[in-house]
Amino acid sequence: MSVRTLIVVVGLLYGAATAVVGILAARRTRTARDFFAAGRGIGLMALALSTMSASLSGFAFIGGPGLVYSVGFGAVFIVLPAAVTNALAAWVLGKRLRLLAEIRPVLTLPDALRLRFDSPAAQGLAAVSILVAVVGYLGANVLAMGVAVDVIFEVGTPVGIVVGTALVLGYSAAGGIVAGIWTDVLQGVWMAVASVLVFVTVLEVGGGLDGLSTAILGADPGFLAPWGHLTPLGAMGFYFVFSVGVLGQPHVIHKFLMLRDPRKLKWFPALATLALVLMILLFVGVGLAMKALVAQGVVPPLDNPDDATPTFLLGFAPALLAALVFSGVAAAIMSTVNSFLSVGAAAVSRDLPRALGRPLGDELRAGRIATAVICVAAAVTALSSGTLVVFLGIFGWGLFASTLVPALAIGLNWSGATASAAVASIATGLGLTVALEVAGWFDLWTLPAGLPVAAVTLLASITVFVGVSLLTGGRDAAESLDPDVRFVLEA
Amino acid sequence: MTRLHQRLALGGLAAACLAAAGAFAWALVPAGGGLAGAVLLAFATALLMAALVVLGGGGNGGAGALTLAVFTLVVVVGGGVAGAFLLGAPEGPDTPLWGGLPRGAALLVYGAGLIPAVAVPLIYAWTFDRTTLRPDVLDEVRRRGREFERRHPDLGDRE
Repeated sequence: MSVRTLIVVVGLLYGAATAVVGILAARRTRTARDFFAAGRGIGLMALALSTMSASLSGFAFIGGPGLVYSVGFGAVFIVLPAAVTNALAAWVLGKRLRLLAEIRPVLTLPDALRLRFDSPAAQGLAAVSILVAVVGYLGANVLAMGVAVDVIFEVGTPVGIVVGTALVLGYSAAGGIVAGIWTDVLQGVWMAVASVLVFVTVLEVGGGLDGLSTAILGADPGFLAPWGHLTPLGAMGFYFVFSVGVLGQPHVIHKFLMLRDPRKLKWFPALATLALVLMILLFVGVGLAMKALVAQGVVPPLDNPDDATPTFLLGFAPALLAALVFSGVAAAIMSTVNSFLSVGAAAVSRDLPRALGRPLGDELRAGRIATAVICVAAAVTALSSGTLVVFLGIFGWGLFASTLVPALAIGLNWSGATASAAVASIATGLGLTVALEVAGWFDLWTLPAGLPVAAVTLLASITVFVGVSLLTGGRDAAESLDPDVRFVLEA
Repeated sequence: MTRLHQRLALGGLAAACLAAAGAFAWALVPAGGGLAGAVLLAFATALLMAALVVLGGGGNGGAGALTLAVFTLVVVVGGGVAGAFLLGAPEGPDTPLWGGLPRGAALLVYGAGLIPAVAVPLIYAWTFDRTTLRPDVLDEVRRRGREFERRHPDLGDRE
């Protein structure tokens, strides 16, 4: 069987498995709580694998190795925080979010913010921020999904977008986040196995890490500086954003609300960190291998860094492994898209109407319709906006971080924080991110020394949150809380 | 959480924000992308994470058991990243390798990456029952939840 045939067969098997899981999950989705929060019934393994699958999009397979190949070891600063982010999220958010869901009907993060701050404005503004970021981020991921489907079936990117969108929309609209969690587990295992096998292949091809480093050092020693070809401050800016910023990624932390038993959080960081570390092996390994192979003259320099993974797989990996990874890319993107669809649909059908004092009668039906509308809008964006879609992806991640981190990470743990601070910090994050990203996109102004925009906007919104809380709250803020909410915040 | 722990956490948060702002301001000076700003930001980030851990993890049992987590974040992560920066870039093919990588890259991966990847989740599990979520706290939260559902049967989330 040729490599091409094998890739198509594995892709079809993967698509069929996903469809079956979606159909089974749809039968289990009967209420809004099922649709948005998986009936609050998932266990530890599902939580660990689904957070890993949702947090790693196709970037882990394609863009990440390409980034390592092009900027060197500095790209590691994007994935290095994975060592601590799961424990950080569990300490800072896992317990509070899950306990809030124990005392009141909390299905979404804006639900939690409204309960915490007793503020429809905080709920509404958070929902708007989520929706704006979701559409941007989804556009980028749907485009990547189209590329992945095209690589597998050679149908062209536009057809790939349509086919991929149809598949993910089918199981997302029918089975909601239940389908998402089940497919995440399938996709997470698929991705982790593929990553480990690719890393083993990298070590075999490159003569171990020593062989890879020696080859690279002979041609480009700066590539293996701790910051690679970035500036030290720019590299560290990535670490800042991807460590603390994770606490504002709704498609990931929303999953804490789905956990059946809060005591299961105990081993969540260990399992989720192990899964993430396995995934990082491919991210770093392929980038280093391609740089070494180019340095040795085995392959010509890549015109497009994103070709690093396909070039390595088709040239040096066993055919079955290449087929597994190509489907793994599609799996990674689909799991991320599904998670975004879930939080976006919840923002439209639950959070915004409730913030406006007009909750919908049938949130399950509204959620399914919103899922379809958002998915189609993302596909249209991906088909029509060209390179703008890449900008939207970066913009979306930074917007999540700068708008949601202060109100969630600090607000859920400090009873002295106030609703005014939550609204002010969300507005600061939203306004500043839009202003700086747009200025950068149109080459009007960029931050010096390669600093990421999200680093500055995140710091600004945290500062505003703490400052406004100190000015407007203090001890009075804690005493005005609902006693049950205060108990959870101070437990 | 005691008021002292909360004040320590918020103080750490403020100090981390100030340090991060200083590091970002460093970018404005000529050659500001260099090592000093990066080292300052490494410790600012580590301190920010440690402050958040104390704020979030310091339950009724006190945050004392979290000292090891704070140490790991500030010293191992912050110090490891800063140390990697200070070791500098490799100079050529004769650069000695540690675990297959030049010294700075090795310290980054094995020191600031692998050690905390093992240690921090284990510290979380070790302190979970004592400080993060004590059984009596969970029982009380569940009692309050049941009481709310009894008083407001129409406000459940099973619609």
